[in-house]
Amino acid sequence: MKLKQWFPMLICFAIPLAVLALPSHVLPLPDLTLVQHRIIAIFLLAALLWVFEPVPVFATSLLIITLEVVMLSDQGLAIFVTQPPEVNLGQLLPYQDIFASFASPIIILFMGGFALAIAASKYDLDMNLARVLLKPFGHQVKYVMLGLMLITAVFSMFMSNTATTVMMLAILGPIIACAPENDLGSKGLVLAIPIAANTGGIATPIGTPPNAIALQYLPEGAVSFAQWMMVGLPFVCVQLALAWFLLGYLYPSKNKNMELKLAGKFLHSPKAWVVYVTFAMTILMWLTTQLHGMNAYVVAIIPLAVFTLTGVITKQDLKLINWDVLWLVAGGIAMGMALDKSGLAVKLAQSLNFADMGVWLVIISLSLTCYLMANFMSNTATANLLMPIAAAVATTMSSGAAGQSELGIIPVLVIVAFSSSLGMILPVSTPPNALAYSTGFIATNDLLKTGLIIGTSGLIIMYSVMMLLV
Amino acid sequence: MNKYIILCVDDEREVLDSVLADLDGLSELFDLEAAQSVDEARDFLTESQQNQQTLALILCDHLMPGTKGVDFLIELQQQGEYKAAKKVLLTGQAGLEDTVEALNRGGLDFYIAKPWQGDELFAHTQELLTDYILDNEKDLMRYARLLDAEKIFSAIHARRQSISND
Repeated sequence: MKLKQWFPMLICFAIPLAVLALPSHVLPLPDLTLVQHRIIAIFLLAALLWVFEPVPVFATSLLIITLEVVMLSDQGLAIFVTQPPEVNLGQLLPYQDIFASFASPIIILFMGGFALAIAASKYDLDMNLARVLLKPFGHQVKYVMLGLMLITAVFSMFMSNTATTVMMLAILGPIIACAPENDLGSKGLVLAIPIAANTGGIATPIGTPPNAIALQYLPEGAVSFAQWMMVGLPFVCVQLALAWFLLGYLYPSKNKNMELKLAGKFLHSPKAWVVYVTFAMTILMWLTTQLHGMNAYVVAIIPLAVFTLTGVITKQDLKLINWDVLWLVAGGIAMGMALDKSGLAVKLAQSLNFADMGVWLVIISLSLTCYLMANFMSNTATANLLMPIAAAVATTMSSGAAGQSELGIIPVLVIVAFSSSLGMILPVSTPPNALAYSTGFIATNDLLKTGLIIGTSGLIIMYSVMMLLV
Repeated sequence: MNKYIILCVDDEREVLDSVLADLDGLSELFDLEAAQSVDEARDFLTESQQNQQTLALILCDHLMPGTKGVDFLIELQQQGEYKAAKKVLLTGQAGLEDTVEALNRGGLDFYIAKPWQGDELFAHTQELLTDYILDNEKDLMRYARLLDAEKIFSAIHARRQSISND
C-alpha cells in the first residue's frame, strides 16, 4: 500500500533528476545554457506531476515557483547562482519576476470572477436568476433541457464551471430523484448540465482558466473581452445546439412533461442590491473596454473593492476564493515566464523544424495533443504546459517563414484554449463531469459517448472555420 | 467496499436476514452487515475500523444472550468514533425502563417495534441516514439518489459555495 502510493511520486522525481544530472551538451538542443537545462528538468517534473497527480495539481504549481526561485533566480541557492567553469550558466531570472506570477493580471481577473460568484451565491442571485430564466421554457422535457443548458452555459461564462454545475444540479436533482430508475430522459437532463458548463466556459476570457492563460501569452490588448466573446459565443451556441439535438436523440424521455420547482424570491436588502448592480456593471464594463479604456484585468478588481467595502464579502467569505485554482494558474505563469525569458521556448520551437511540417499540421497536432491531455488531466494544467510551447511555435512560425505567416499567434492560442475545454469524455476530465457522475444518475459510458461526439464536433468546427478564414 | 456501514445486531438469524433484505436498496452505497451477538458486533466494528470504514447506523435488538442491546448502545455512545452513528432499537421486548435508558444515555434515535413493516423500516432508515450524511459527509452529491433527495439537494444548494470549492 505504502509503496504503491510512493511509486508514482518516485518516478515523477527520478526522471527529471536524471535529466538534470546529464551534461548539458548531451541534450538535443544547440548551445543549451545551464539555466535552460534546469528549466527543462523543472518542466518535465511539472508535466509528470500534473499528468499522474501523485499530489494535488496546485501543490505542483507551488513547487514550480519554489524550484524556480531556488534554482533559476538571481537570489537562489549559492551553488546554483555561481558560474561553474567551462559551462555557460546563462541568464538568471530576476526573483521578483518569478514571484510576480502570484499577482499577475490573470490572477486578479480570476479573483474578480470569484468575488462575483461568491457574492452572487451568498445573496442567492445565481439561484433566483436561474429560476426566473427557466420559467419561460415551460414544462415540456425537451424545452426544459434547452433552458437548463442555455442557463448553465451563460452562468459558466461568468462563474466557474464547477459552481454553476453544483447550482444547476441542485435545481434539477429533486425532480430527477423522483423519476423512475433508469429513465433515459433523466439521464439526458443530468448529462446536459456538465456538457453545457464545460462548453459555456469557452465563451469568455474568465469562463475557464485556459482562456485566460491563452490571453497571458498574447501581446497586451491584442484580444479584448468582447473580441474573445465574438469568437467564443457563436462557437458555444453551435456546440450547445448540437448537444441539445444529440441528447434529445440519444436520451428520449418517456414523460413529455416535467415541472421544476422554481419558487424563489429575490432579496431586496441594500447589500443584495449592491450585488445585483455590481454584477451587472462589471459584466457591462468587461464588454465595453473601448468606451472607458479599462481592460478586463483592471475592471476585475473593482467588484472586489466594492464587495469588501460594503461588507458583502466578509473575512469569512474571503476563504471561499478558490485559492487552489489561482495557485495552479500562477504556477503555469511562472513556468511559461521561465521558458520564455530564458529563451528556451524559442530554442525548442526552432529546433523542431516547422517549415517542413506545414502550419496546419502544427496547429492540428497542438490542438489534438491538448484535447487528448485535457481528457485525462486538469484542463488548466494542460493549458499551463502547452500554451507556452504553442506561443513559441506560433511566434517562430509567423516571424520565420514569411510565406506561412498568414496565421498569427492569436488563432493558434485560441484554438489550443478551446481544445482544452473540449476534453470531457471521462468523469475525471473536468470537475463538472465528476460532480454529475457522482450523483449516480449517469454512467461513465454516457459521458464517453456524448463527450466524444461533442468534442469531435468542436474540433471539426474549429478546423473548418480556420480553413475557411485563411 | 463502501465508506459507511449499516450494522444489524440480533440473535435470530431470520430477523437479520429479513432486515438485510428490507434494506437491500441501500447496499449500493452502504455496506450492510449482520452480527448475531454483541460480542460479534464488537469484533466486527474493530475490524471495520482497521478498514477505515465508519459506522453510520446500527439496528440493535435488546434481549440477546450476553450483553443486552441497550447496554451496547450506551457503550457505543460513550466512544467518540461511534457517537455520531444513528442508533435504532429494533425489538419487541425492551421494557419502558430499558427504553428510557437507551434514550437518555444511549443516544437512541429511533425505536421500531417488532414485528415491523419492510417499507416502513426502509423509510425510517433512509431518513436517519440522510441526517447522518448531512452532518458527517462532505461529498453529498452521491447520496442524493438513494436517500432523501429533496433534503440532500437543498443542503447542496445551501452549501454550494464550499462544495464547488473542493
